[in-house]
Amino acid sequence: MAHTLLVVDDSASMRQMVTFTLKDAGYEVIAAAHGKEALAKLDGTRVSMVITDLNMPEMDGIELIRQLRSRPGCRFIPIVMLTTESQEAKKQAGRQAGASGWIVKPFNPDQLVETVRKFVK
Amino acid sequence: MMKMIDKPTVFVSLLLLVTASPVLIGSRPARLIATAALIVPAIIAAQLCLRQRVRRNVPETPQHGPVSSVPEQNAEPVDTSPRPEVELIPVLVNQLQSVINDTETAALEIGGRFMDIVSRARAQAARAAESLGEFAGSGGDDGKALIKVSKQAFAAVMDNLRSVSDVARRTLANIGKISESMTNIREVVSEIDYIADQTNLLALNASIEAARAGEHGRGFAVVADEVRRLSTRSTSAADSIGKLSRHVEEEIAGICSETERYSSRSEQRSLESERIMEATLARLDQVMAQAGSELDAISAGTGELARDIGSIVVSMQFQDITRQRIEHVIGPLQDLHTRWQRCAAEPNPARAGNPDGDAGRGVERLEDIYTMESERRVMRDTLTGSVGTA
Repeated sequence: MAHTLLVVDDSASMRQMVTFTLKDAGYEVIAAAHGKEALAKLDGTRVSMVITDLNMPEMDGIELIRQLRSRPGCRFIPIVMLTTESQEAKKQAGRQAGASGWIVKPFNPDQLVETVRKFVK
Repeated sequence: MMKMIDKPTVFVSLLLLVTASPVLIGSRPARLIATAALIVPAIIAAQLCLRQRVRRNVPETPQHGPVSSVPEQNAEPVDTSPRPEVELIPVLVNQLQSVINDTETAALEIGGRFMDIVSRARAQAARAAESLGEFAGSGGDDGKALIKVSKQAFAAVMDNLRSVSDVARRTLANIGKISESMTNIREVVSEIDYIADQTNLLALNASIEAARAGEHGRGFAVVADEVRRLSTRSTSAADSIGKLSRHVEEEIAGICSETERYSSRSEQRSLESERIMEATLARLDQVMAQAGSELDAISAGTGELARDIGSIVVSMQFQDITRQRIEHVIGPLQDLHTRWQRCAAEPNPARAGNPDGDAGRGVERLEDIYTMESERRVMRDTLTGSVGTA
Protein backbone atom coordinates (compact mmCIF):
# COMPACT_ATOMS: atom_id res chain seq x y z
CA MET A 1 0.00 0.00 0.00
CA ALA A 2 1.33 3.42 -1.00
CA HIS A 3 2.37 5.92 1.67
CA THR A 4 0.22 9.03 2.01
CA LEU A 5 1.99 12.40 2.13
CA LEU A 6 0.57 15.79 3.15
CA VAL A 7 1.64 18.68 0.91
CA VAL A 8 0.96 22.24 2.12
CA ASP A 9 1.63 25.29 -0.08
CA ASP A 10 -0.37 28.45 -0.73
CA SER A 11 0.66 28.42 -4.40
CA ALA A 12 -1.80 26.34 -6.44
CA SER A 13 0.78 25.71 -9.17
CA MET A 14 3.35 24.54 -6.60
CA ARG A 15 0.80 22.20 -5.02
CA GLN A 16 0.03 20.89 -8.47
CA MET A 17 3.70 20.26 -9.31
CA VAL A 18 4.63 18.72 -5.98
CA THR A 19 1.53 16.52 -6.06
CA PHE A 20 2.31 15.40 -9.63
CA THR A 21 5.96 14.67 -8.79
CA LEU A 22 5.09 12.64 -5.70
CA LYS A 23 2.18 10.77 -7.29
CA ASP A 24 4.47 9.97 -10.20
CA ALA A 25 6.89 8.45 -7.68
CA GLY A 26 4.08 6.23 -6.36
CA TYR A 27 2.83 8.12 -3.30
CA GLU A 28 -0.69 9.14 -2.34
CA VAL A 29 -0.95 12.89 -1.75
CA ILE A 30 -3.25 15.10 0.32
CA ALA A 31 -2.82 18.78 -0.63
CA ALA A 32 -3.71 21.88 1.40
CA ALA A 33 -3.30 25.64 0.76
CA HIS A 34 -2.29 26.62 4.32
CA GLY A 35 -1.77 25.32 7.84
CA LYS A 36 -5.41 25.46 8.94
CA GLU A 37 -6.61 23.57 5.90
CA ALA A 38 -3.82 21.03 6.41
CA LEU A 39 -4.86 20.38 10.02
CA ALA A 40 -8.51 20.07 8.97
CA LYS A 41 -7.66 17.60 6.20
CA LEU A 42 -5.33 15.66 8.47
CA ASP A 43 -8.06 15.11 11.05
CA GLY A 44 -8.56 11.36 11.22
CA THR A 45 -6.13 10.63 8.40
CA ARG A 46 -2.72 9.10 8.98
CA VAL A 47 0.11 10.43 6.82
CA SER A 48 3.68 9.17 6.53
CA MET A 49 5.27 12.57 5.95
CA VAL A 50 4.46 16.30 5.69
CA ILE A 51 5.98 18.67 3.11
CA THR A 52 5.12 22.27 3.85
CA ASP A 53 5.82 25.78 2.62
CA LEU A 54 6.91 28.34 5.22
CA ASN A 55 5.15 31.61 4.34
CA MET A 56 1.42 31.02 3.99
CA PRO A 57 -1.77 32.87 4.90
CA GLU A 58 -4.07 31.75 7.74
CA MET A 59 -1.39 29.62 9.36
CA ASP A 60 2.28 29.58 8.33
CA GLY A 61 4.58 26.58 8.16
CA ILE A 62 6.27 27.11 11.53
CA GLU A 63 2.92 27.24 13.37
CA LEU A 64 1.70 24.21 11.44
CA ILE A 65 4.78 22.25 12.54
CA ARG A 66 4.25 23.32 16.16
CA GLN A 67 0.62 22.21 16.06
CA LEU A 68 1.47 18.94 14.36
CA ARG A 69 4.15 18.15 16.93
CA SER A 70 1.58 18.65 19.67
CA ARG A 71 -0.70 16.02 18.16
CA PRO A 72 -0.19 12.47 19.45
CA GLY A 73 -0.17 10.84 15.98
CA CYS A 74 2.18 13.40 14.43
CA ARG A 75 4.96 13.76 16.98
CA PHE A 76 7.43 11.61 15.11
CA ILE A 77 6.42 11.87 11.46
CA PRO A 78 9.02 13.52 9.20
CA ILE A 79 8.22 17.14 8.29
CA VAL A 80 10.20 18.75 5.48
CA MET A 81 9.95 22.45 4.66
CA LEU A 82 9.80 23.35 0.98
CA THR A 83 10.31 27.09 0.69
CA THR A 84 12.18 29.97 -0.90
CA GLU A 85 13.52 30.93 2.52
CA SER A 86 17.30 30.72 2.55
CA GLN A 87 18.24 32.40 5.82
CA GLU A 88 19.91 30.16 8.36
CA ALA A 89 18.01 31.88 11.20
CA LYS A 90 14.67 30.95 9.61
CA LYS A 91 15.88 27.39 9.05
CA GLN A 92 16.86 27.24 12.69
CA ALA A 93 13.36 28.43 13.66
CA GLY A 94 11.92 25.65 11.53
CA ARG A 95 14.17 23.07 13.19
CA GLN A 96 13.28 24.33 16.64
CA ALA A 97 9.58 24.03 15.78
CA GLY A 98 10.23 20.40 14.85
CA ALA A 99 11.06 20.32 11.13
CA SER A 100 13.08 17.29 10.03
CA GLY A 101 14.54 18.75 6.83
CA TRP A 102 14.62 21.64 4.42
CA ILE A 103 14.39 21.93 0.63
CA VAL A 104 14.90 25.34 -0.99
CA LYS A 105 12.82 26.32 -4.03
CA PRO A 106 13.33 25.95 -6.91
CA PHE A 107 13.72 22.26 -6.20
CA ASN A 108 14.58 19.45 -8.57
CA PRO A 109 11.87 16.74 -8.55
CA ASP A 110 14.52 14.02 -8.19
CA GLN A 111 15.84 15.80 -5.12
CA LEU A 112 12.33 15.97 -3.65
CA VAL A 113 11.61 12.29 -4.31
CA GLU A 114 15.03 11.29 -2.96
CA THR A 115 14.37 13.24 0.24
CA VAL A 116 10.94 11.65 0.66
CA ARG A 117 12.41 8.17 0.10
CA LYS A 118 15.05 8.89 2.71
CA PHE A 119 12.36 9.62 5.30
CA VAL A 120 9.61 7.22 4.20
CA LYS A 121 10.61 3.60 3.76
CA MET B 1 18.57 60.82 -10.60
CA MET B 2 19.21 60.04 -6.96
CA LYS B 3 19.55 63.74 -6.24
CA MET B 4 16.02 64.37 -7.52
CA ILE B 5 14.33 61.79 -5.32
CA ASP B 6 13.19 62.02 -1.73
CA LYS B 7 12.84 59.11 0.70
CA PRO B 8 9.42 57.77 -0.34
CA THR B 9 10.58 57.90 -3.91
CA VAL B 10 13.75 56.08 -3.02
CA PHE B 11 11.79 53.57 -0.97
CA VAL B 12 9.29 52.79 -3.71
CA SER B 13 11.90 52.77 -6.44
CA LEU B 14 14.24 50.68 -4.34
CA LEU B 15 11.47 48.30 -3.45
CA LEU B 16 10.47 47.73 -7.05
CA LEU B 17 13.99 47.72 -8.41
CA VAL B 18 15.18 45.26 -5.81
CA THR B 19 12.39 42.95 -6.83
CA ALA B 20 12.53 43.59 -10.56
CA SER B 21 16.32 43.49 -11.11
CA PRO B 22 16.84 39.73 -10.74
CA VAL B 23 13.79 39.17 -12.86
CA LEU B 24 15.55 41.00 -15.70
CA ILE B 25 18.37 38.47 -15.62
CA GLY B 26 17.66 35.35 -17.67
CA SER B 27 15.11 34.72 -20.35
CA ARG B 28 12.52 32.42 -18.84
CA PRO B 29 8.96 33.25 -19.91
CA ALA B 30 7.78 33.58 -16.31
CA ARG B 31 10.54 36.11 -15.67
CA LEU B 32 9.60 38.11 -18.75
CA ILE B 33 5.96 38.28 -17.68
CA ALA B 34 7.01 39.32 -14.21
CA THR B 35 9.44 41.86 -15.63
CA ALA B 36 6.67 43.58 -17.58
CA ALA B 37 4.41 43.38 -14.57
CA LEU B 38 6.98 44.93 -12.29
CA ILE B 39 8.62 47.59 -14.43
CA VAL B 40 5.39 49.42 -15.36
CA PRO B 41 4.22 49.90 -11.77
CA ALA B 42 7.83 50.76 -10.79
CA ILE B 43 7.96 53.59 -13.31
CA ILE B 44 4.50 54.82 -12.32
CA ALA B 45 5.39 54.69 -8.64
CA ALA B 46 8.64 56.59 -9.19
CA GLN B 47 6.84 59.22 -11.27
CA LEU B 48 4.13 59.62 -8.64
CA CYS B 49 6.70 60.26 -5.97
CA LEU B 50 8.60 62.70 -8.16
CA ARG B 51 5.38 64.60 -8.90
CA GLN B 52 4.65 64.62 -5.23
CA ARG B 53 8.05 66.19 -4.59
CA VAL B 54 7.58 68.82 -7.32
CA ARG B 55 4.10 69.72 -6.06
CA ARG B 56 5.36 70.08 -2.49
CA ASN B 57 8.34 72.11 -3.82
CA VAL B 58 10.61 70.77 -1.15
CA PRO B 59 14.32 71.33 -1.60
CA GLU B 60 16.38 68.25 -2.29
CA THR B 61 18.21 66.64 0.57
CA PRO B 62 21.80 65.86 -0.30
CA GLN B 63 22.45 62.19 0.15
CA HIS B 64 25.62 60.14 0.06
CA GLY B 65 26.04 56.41 0.21
CA PRO B 66 23.20 53.99 0.93
CA VAL B 67 19.79 55.58 1.13
CA SER B 68 18.83 53.86 4.32
CA SER B 69 22.02 54.81 6.11
CA VAL B 70 21.30 58.56 6.02
CA PRO B 71 20.07 59.66 9.44
CA GLU B 72 16.85 61.57 9.51
CA GLN B 73 18.05 65.07 10.55
CA ASN B 74 15.98 68.25 10.31
CA ALA B 75 12.81 66.50 9.21
CA GLU B 76 10.86 68.51 6.71
CA PRO B 77 7.41 69.84 7.62
CA VAL B 78 4.85 67.31 6.64
CA ASP B 79 2.51 68.32 3.89
CA THR B 80 -0.87 67.06 5.04
CA SER B 81 -2.75 68.27 1.99
CA PRO B 82 -4.57 65.62 -0.04
CA ARG B 83 -2.23 63.53 -2.18
CA PRO B 84 -4.42 61.94 -4.86
CA GLU B 85 -1.41 60.34 -6.62
CA VAL B 86 -0.46 58.53 -3.46
CA GLU B 87 -3.97 57.15 -3.37
CA LEU B 88 -3.06 55.35 -6.58
CA ILE B 89 -0.85 52.97 -4.63
CA PRO B 90 -3.82 50.58 -4.05
CA VAL B 91 -4.30 50.59 -7.82
CA LEU B 92 -0.69 49.51 -8.26
CA VAL B 93 -1.13 46.92 -5.55
CA ASN B 94 -4.23 45.58 -7.25
CA GLN B 95 -2.40 45.56 -10.58
CA LEU B 96 0.39 43.50 -9.06
CA GLN B 97 -2.13 41.21 -7.39
CA SER B 98 -3.85 40.79 -10.75
CA VAL B 99 -0.51 39.84 -12.29
CA ILE B 100 -0.06 37.24 -9.57
CA ASN B 101 -3.53 35.83 -10.21
CA ASP B 102 -3.12 35.80 -13.99
CA THR B 103 0.31 34.15 -13.91
CA GLU B 104 -0.95 31.65 -11.33
CA THR B 105 -3.90 30.75 -13.55
CA ALA B 106 -1.63 30.48 -16.61
CA ALA B 107 0.93 28.37 -14.71
CA LEU B 108 -1.82 26.07 -13.44
CA GLU B 109 -3.21 25.60 -16.93
CA ILE B 110 0.23 25.03 -18.48
CA GLY B 111 1.18 22.68 -15.66
CA GLY B 112 -2.09 20.76 -15.94
CA ARG B 113 -1.76 20.31 -19.68
CA PHE B 114 1.87 19.34 -19.45
CA MET B 115 1.17 16.76 -16.76
CA ASP B 116 -1.71 15.40 -18.81
CA ILE B 117 0.62 15.00 -21.80
CA VAL B 118 3.23 13.28 -19.66
CA SER B 119 0.65 10.93 -18.15
CA ARG B 120 -0.75 10.02 -21.55
CA ALA B 121 2.73 9.47 -23.04
CA ARG B 122 3.64 7.19 -20.16
CA ALA B 123 0.36 5.28 -20.40
CA GLN B 124 0.91 4.75 -24.13
CA ALA B 125 4.48 3.55 -23.58
CA ALA B 126 3.23 1.15 -20.88
CA ARG B 127 0.46 -0.14 -23.17
CA ALA B 128 2.97 -0.65 -26.03
CA ALA B 129 5.31 -2.55 -23.71
CA GLU B 130 2.45 -4.68 -22.41
CA SER B 131 1.19 -5.48 -25.92
CA LEU B 132 4.68 -6.37 -27.14
CA GLY B 133 5.24 -8.45 -24.02
CA GLU B 134 2.08 -10.45 -24.70
CA PHE B 135 3.06 -10.89 -28.33
CA ALA B 136 6.71 -11.79 -27.79
CA GLY B 137 6.38 -13.72 -24.57
CA SER B 138 8.35 -11.25 -22.49
CA GLY B 139 5.30 -9.94 -20.69
CA GLY B 140 5.58 -12.42 -17.87
CA ASP B 141 2.53 -14.48 -18.81
CA ASP B 142 3.87 -17.23 -21.05
CA GLY B 143 0.36 -18.52 -21.75
CA LYS B 144 -0.38 -15.30 -23.62
CA ALA B 145 2.84 -15.27 -25.59
CA LEU B 146 1.56 -15.41 -29.12
CA ILE B 147 4.94 -16.00 -30.71
CA LYS B 148 5.75 -18.84 -28.35
CA VAL B 149 2.35 -20.46 -28.89
CA SER B 150 2.71 -20.06 -32.66
CA LYS B 151 6.13 -21.68 -32.61
CA GLN B 152 4.81 -24.58 -30.57
CA ALA B 153 1.83 -25.02 -32.93
CA PHE B 154 4.10 -24.87 -35.97
CA ALA B 155 6.43 -27.44 -34.44
CA ALA B 156 3.47 -29.80 -33.78
CA VAL B 157 2.26 -29.46 -37.38
CA MET B 158 5.78 -30.12 -38.63
CA ASP B 159 6.01 -33.26 -36.47
CA ASN B 160 2.72 -34.52 -37.91
CA LEU B 161 3.88 -33.90 -41.47
CA ARG B 162 7.18 -35.66 -40.79
CA SER B 163 5.39 -38.66 -39.19
CA VAL B 164 3.13 -38.99 -42.28
CA SER B 165 6.25 -39.17 -44.49
CA ASP B 166 7.81 -41.70 -42.13
CA VAL B 167 4.69 -43.93 -42.28
CA ALA B 168 4.75 -43.81 -46.09
CA ARG B 169 8.44 -44.77 -46.09
CA ARG B 170 7.86 -47.66 -43.67
CA THR B 171 4.87 -48.89 -45.75
CA LEU B 172 7.06 -48.91 -48.86
CA ALA B 173 9.72 -50.91 -47.04
CA ASN B 174 7.13 -53.46 -45.87
CA ILE B 175 5.68 -53.75 -49.37
CA GLY B 176 9.23 -54.40 -50.65
CA LYS B 177 9.57 -57.31 -48.19
CA ILE B 178 6.18 -58.74 -49.29
CA SER B 179 7.33 -58.46 -52.89
CA GLU B 180 10.47 -60.43 -52.05
CA SER B 181 8.34 -63.15 -50.39
CA MET B 182 6.16 -63.35 -53.51
CA THR B 183 9.31 -63.96 -55.60
CA ASN B 184 10.20 -66.84 -53.27
CA ILE B 185 6.66 -68.22 -53.57
CA ARG B 186 6.97 -68.14 -57.40
CA GLU B 187 10.24 -70.12 -57.19
CA VAL B 188 8.58 -72.68 -54.87
CA VAL B 189 5.61 -73.02 -57.25
CA SER B 190 8.02 -73.55 -60.13
CA GLU B 191 9.71 -76.31 -58.10
CA ILE B 192 6.29 -77.91 -57.36
CA ASP B 193 5.48 -77.75 -61.09
CA TYR B 194 8.78 -79.50 -61.90
CA ILE B 195 8.16 -82.20 -59.24
CA ALA B 196 4.61 -82.75 -60.57
CA ASP B 197 5.98 -83.20 -64.15
CA GLN B 198 8.62 -85.68 -62.95
CA THR B 199 5.99 -87.55 -60.89
CA ASN B 200 3.73 -87.72 -63.93
CA LEU B 201 6.63 -89.13 -65.98
CA LEU B 202 7.38 -91.70 -63.29
CA ALA B 203 3.68 -92.70 -63.12
CA LEU B 204 3.66 -93.16 -66.92
CA ASN B 205 6.76 -95.40 -66.75
CA ALA B 206 5.19 -97.33 -63.87
CA SER B 207 2.02 -97.92 -65.93
CA ILE B 208 4.16 -99.28 -68.84
CA GLU B 209 6.04 -101.60 -66.51
CA ALA B 210 2.74 -102.75 -64.91
CA ALA B 211 1.34 -103.63 -68.37
CA ARG B 212 4.44 -105.71 -69.09
CA ALA B 213 4.05 -107.60 -65.86
CA GLY B 214 0.56 -108.66 -66.94
CA GLU B 215 -1.68 -110.09 -64.29
CA HIS B 216 0.97 -109.51 -61.62
CA GLY B 217 1.24 -105.86 -62.45
CA ARG B 218 -2.48 -105.01 -62.38
CA GLY B 219 -2.43 -103.65 -58.79
CA PHE B 220 0.71 -101.67 -59.54
CA ALA B 221 -1.02 -100.19 -62.62
CA VAL B 222 -3.84 -98.88 -60.40
CA VAL B 223 -1.30 -97.20 -58.10
CA ALA B 224 0.55 -95.74 -61.10
CA ASP B 225 -2.71 -94.25 -62.47
CA GLU B 226 -3.51 -92.76 -59.08
CA VAL B 227 0.00 -91.23 -58.82
CA ARG B 228 -0.36 -89.72 -62.37
CA ARG B 229 -3.75 -88.22 -61.44
CA LEU B 230 -2.23 -86.68 -58.29
CA SER B 231 0.66 -85.21 -60.26
CA THR B 232 -1.81 -83.71 -62.73
CA ARG B 233 -3.71 -82.13 -59.84
CA SER B 234 -0.39 -80.90 -58.41
CA THR B 235 0.46 -79.27 -61.74
CA SER B 236 -2.99 -77.69 -61.86
CA ALA B 237 -2.67 -76.41 -58.25
CA ALA B 238 0.82 -75.05 -59.00
CA ASP B 239 -0.61 -73.24 -62.08
CA SER B 240 -3.34 -71.71 -59.90
CA ILE B 241 -0.82 -70.64 -57.25
CA GLY B 242 1.41 -69.21 -60.00
CA LYS B 243 -1.49 -67.19 -61.47
CA LEU B 244 -2.53 -65.99 -58.00
CA SER B 245 1.03 -65.00 -57.06
CA ARG B 246 1.41 -63.06 -60.33
CA HIS B 247 -1.86 -61.26 -59.60
CA VAL B 248 -0.75 -60.48 -56.07
CA GLU B 249 2.60 -59.23 -57.41
CA GLU B 250 0.82 -56.98 -59.90
CA GLU B 251 -1.39 -55.60 -57.09
CA ILE B 252 1.62 -55.05 -54.85
CA ALA B 253 3.44 -53.28 -57.67
CA GLY B 254 0.39 -50.96 -58.07
CA ILE B 255 0.23 -50.24 -54.32
CA CYS B 256 3.96 -49.73 -54.23
CA SER B 257 3.85 -47.25 -57.11
CA GLU B 258 0.91 -45.37 -55.54
CA THR B 259 2.59 -45.33 -52.11
CA GLU B 260 5.82 -44.06 -53.65
CA ARG B 261 3.96 -41.25 -55.38
CA TYR B 262 2.11 -40.40 -52.14
CA SER B 263 5.29 -40.57 -50.09
CA SER B 264 7.11 -38.35 -52.54
CA ARG B 265 4.27 -35.80 -52.56
CA SER B 266 4.00 -35.97 -48.78
CA GLU B 267 7.71 -35.41 -48.34
CA GLN B 268 7.61 -32.54 -50.81
CA ARG B 269 4.68 -30.93 -48.99
CA SER B 270 6.36 -31.49 -45.68
CA LEU B 271 9.52 -29.77 -46.89
CA GLU B 272 7.51 -26.97 -48.45
CA SER B 273 5.46 -26.49 -45.27
CA GLU B 274 8.61 -26.51 -43.17
CA ARG B 275 10.17 -23.89 -45.43
CA ILE B 276 7.04 -21.68 -45.25
CA MET B 277 6.77 -22.05 -41.48
CA GLU B 278 10.44 -21.31 -40.94
CA ALA B 279 10.13 -18.26 -43.19
CA THR B 280 6.99 -17.16 -41.30
CA LEU B 281 8.66 -17.61 -37.92
CA ALA B 282 11.78 -15.82 -39.16
CA ARG B 283 9.56 -12.97 -40.36
CA LEU B 284 7.75 -12.92 -37.01
CA ASP B 285 11.10 -12.81 -35.20
CA GLN B 286 12.17 -9.96 -37.48
CA VAL B 287 8.93 -8.07 -36.82
CA MET B 288 9.32 -8.65 -33.10
CA ALA B 289 12.91 -7.43 -33.21
CA GLN B 290 11.72 -4.28 -34.99
CA ALA B 291 8.89 -3.85 -32.49
CA GLY B 292 11.43 -4.34 -29.67
CA SER B 293 13.63 -1.62 -31.17
CA GLU B 294 10.60 0.66 -31.44
CA LEU B 295 9.73 -0.09 -27.83
CA ASP B 296 13.30 0.68 -26.79
CA ALA B 297 12.98 3.99 -28.65
CA ILE B 298 9.67 4.67 -26.87
CA SER B 299 11.26 3.79 -23.52
CA ALA B 300 14.19 6.07 -24.29
CA GLY B 301 11.69 8.79 -25.24
CA THR B 302 9.85 8.25 -21.96
CA GLY B 303 13.17 8.52 -20.13
CA GLU B 304 13.91 11.80 -21.90
CA LEU B 305 10.41 12.91 -20.99
CA ALA B 306 11.14 12.14 -17.35
CA ARG B 307 14.29 14.28 -17.56
CA ASP B 308 12.27 17.04 -19.23
CA ILE B 309 9.75 16.82 -16.40
CA GLY B 310 12.54 17.71 -14.00
CA SER B 311 13.63 20.79 -15.91
CA ILE B 312 10.04 21.92 -16.54
CA VAL B 313 9.05 21.43 -12.91
CA VAL B 314 12.07 23.57 -11.94
CA SER B 315 11.12 26.23 -14.52
CA MET B 316 7.47 26.28 -13.44
CA GLN B 317 8.53 27.10 -9.89
CA PHE B 318 9.69 30.51 -11.05
CA GLN B 319 6.03 31.49 -11.19
CA ASP B 320 5.78 30.85 -7.44
CA ILE B 321 9.08 32.60 -6.82
CA THR B 322 7.97 35.59 -8.93
CA ARG B 323 4.66 35.65 -7.06
CA GLN B 324 6.47 35.85 -3.76
CA ARG B 325 8.77 38.60 -5.04
CA ILE B 326 5.76 40.62 -6.18
CA GLU B 327 4.08 40.02 -2.81
CA HIS B 328 7.26 41.34 -1.19
CA VAL B 329 6.66 44.55 -3.17
CA ILE B 330 2.93 44.72 -2.41
CA GLY B 331 3.36 44.53 1.38
CA PRO B 332 5.77 47.47 1.74
CA LEU B 333 3.75 49.48 -0.81
CA GLN B 334 0.64 48.98 1.31
CA ASP B 335 2.59 49.99 4.43
CA LEU B 336 3.80 53.10 2.66
CA HIS B 337 0.25 53.97 1.62
CA THR B 338 -1.06 53.48 5.14
CA ARG B 339 1.59 55.80 6.55
CA TRP B 340 0.83 58.47 4.00
CA GLN B 341 -2.89 58.19 4.76
CA ARG B 342 -2.17 58.52 8.46
CA CYS B 343 -0.10 61.67 7.85
CA ALA B 344 -2.74 63.13 5.57
CA ALA B 345 -5.45 62.59 8.19
CA GLU B 346 -3.43 64.24 10.98
CA PRO B 347 -4.00 68.03 11.06
CA ASN B 348 -1.04 68.63 13.33
CA PRO B 349 2.19 68.00 11.42
CA ALA B 350 4.16 67.65 14.63
CA ARG B 351 1.98 64.80 15.79
CA ALA B 352 1.82 63.17 12.38
CA GLY B 353 5.42 62.07 12.52
CA ASN B 354 7.49 61.29 9.48
CA PRO B 355 5.43 59.90 6.62
CA ASP B 356 8.53 58.36 5.09
CA GLY B 357 9.00 56.25 8.17
CA ASP B 358 12.42 55.45 9.48
CA ALA B 359 14.66 54.73 6.51
CA GLY B 360 16.84 52.45 8.59
CA ARG B 361 13.85 50.51 9.82
CA GLY B 362 12.58 50.33 6.24
CA VAL B 363 15.66 48.36 5.24
CA GLU B 364 15.25 46.12 8.27
CA ARG B 365 11.63 45.60 7.33
CA LEU B 366 12.64 44.60 3.81
CA GLU B 367 15.31 42.27 5.13
CA ASP B 368 12.71 40.65 7.31
CA ILE B 369 10.20 40.30 4.47
CA TYR B 370 12.67 38.93 1.94
CA THR B 371 13.07 35.16 1.94
CA MET B 372 15.40 34.73 -1.01
CA GLU B 373 19.10 35.36 -0.99
CA SER B 374 18.75 36.90 -4.46
CA GLU B 375 16.34 39.53 -3.04
CA ARG B 376 18.74 40.40 -0.26
CA ARG B 377 21.70 40.50 -2.64
CA VAL B 378 19.95 42.92 -4.98
CA MET B 379 19.02 45.14 -2.04
CA ARG B 380 22.61 45.14 -0.77
CA ASP B 381 23.98 45.86 -4.24
CA THR B 382 21.47 48.67 -4.75
CA LEU B 383 22.18 50.26 -1.39
CA THR B 384 25.94 50.11 -1.89
CA GLY B 385 25.61 51.52 -5.39
CA SER B 386 26.77 48.36 -7.22
CA VAL B 387 23.52 48.42 -9.17
CA GLY B 388 22.09 51.70 -10.47
CA THR B 389 18.55 52.83 -9.82
CA ALA B 390 17.88 53.95 -13.38
